[in-house]
Amino acid sequence: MKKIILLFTFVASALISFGQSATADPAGFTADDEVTITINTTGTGLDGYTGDVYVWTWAIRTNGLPNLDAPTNSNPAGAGQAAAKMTRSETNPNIYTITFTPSEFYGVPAVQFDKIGILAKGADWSNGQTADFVIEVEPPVFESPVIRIFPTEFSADDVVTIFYDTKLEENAEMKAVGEYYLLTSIGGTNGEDDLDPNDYYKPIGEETKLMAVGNGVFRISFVPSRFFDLAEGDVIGQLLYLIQNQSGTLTNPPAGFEILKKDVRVKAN
Amino acid sequence: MKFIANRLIILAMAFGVISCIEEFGDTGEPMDRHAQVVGTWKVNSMIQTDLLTDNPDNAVVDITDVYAFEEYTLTLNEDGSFTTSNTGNAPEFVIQNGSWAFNDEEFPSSLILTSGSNTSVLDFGSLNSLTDRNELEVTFTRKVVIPDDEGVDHEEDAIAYEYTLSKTN
Repeated sequence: MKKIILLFTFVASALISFGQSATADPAGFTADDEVTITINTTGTGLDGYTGDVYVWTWAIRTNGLPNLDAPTNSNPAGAGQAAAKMTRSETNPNIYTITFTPSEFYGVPAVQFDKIGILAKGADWSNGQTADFVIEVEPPVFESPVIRIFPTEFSADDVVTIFYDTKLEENAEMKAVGEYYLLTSIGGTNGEDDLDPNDYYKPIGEETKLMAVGNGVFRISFVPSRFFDLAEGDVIGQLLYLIQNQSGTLTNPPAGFEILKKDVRVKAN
Repeated sequence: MKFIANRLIILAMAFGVISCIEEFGDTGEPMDRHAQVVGTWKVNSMIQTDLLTDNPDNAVVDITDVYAFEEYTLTLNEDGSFTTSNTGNAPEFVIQNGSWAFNDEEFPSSLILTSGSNTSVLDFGSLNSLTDRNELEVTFTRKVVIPDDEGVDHEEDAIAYEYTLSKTN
């Protein structure tokens, strides 16, 4: 009996699912591209429905980050969900479309998108809905700089990593050095005066040497609040840095160019 | 004809699914997550994810070997207290001792560490790792204060520190 009920349920689900679908135009897109999603509600609870239809959608993120609902996900849908309202086709009332740019619509950086989860629903769940659909999102194209700092935003108590990609180095002499060091200092305040970066430069040595990580890339990681010799009350507000050879005769940015600067944020937790 | 063929394929798949269900039997009692997390946990890996980057080449960094994270342990006691031990140079992102609790006893998604007015939230990754590999996967999300275009400060999730820990006792 158990088998028969399960079989009936499975076959019924399969039959119902015939017809409903979700497609993207263009089929291949990044989260920074405008995309039109088309949902066919044939055979669902929305088949023949004449009221307003909305998307309920979520970002399926990369690197194990948890899924994130679009800000428009709220039931029942009202004026606040206007951006999630779909357009019904004039030729087929079971075909709905919506156009958006995912990174803006979800408020999530494009790099975090792996897929989009989406369904169509009436203003209230009781009005009917489709099944969940999953749409692939392509990773964004980005041209990395020769020196990149990780992460984008950090506090003085976070682990900061500076990468130097010699494959992207334009200076042939610098590219040939093979052993690189970080010249770095800080700006900030001690509560009364601004900190003088000249007082905080790290001496060039093993502690500031970048480690080769393969493929022509070197890196160094540190926690700013532990890396620099801070006096009591010193607050780091900015990180200053460049990459150089051991003697300092070759640098990136080159001599005559300003040292790289990165704001250090106040942590909130 | 194609319509009938499609349905025959579905029927065949359905029988396959039923066979599997029969083989595995009922799903059983819910997991006792509380009992599963009690113990001393040692860090196996520490992955840092940039939550604000646009550069896919600059989104994730493995910092496990940068510091002695293997010498950092988290002990969750049966009585609801917790301690940490850090005999190496691993940077610490959460409070060091106090009490712990789930955000939801029945369906936990976070581990809340509290000491006085200080709180650290560790979000669970896959809870299946507890059952399948006896590993605890938790993420601490660093928030920082960033001024917007009008210069008004607001808090933003900036970095995810993803701990994978294994039980030592």
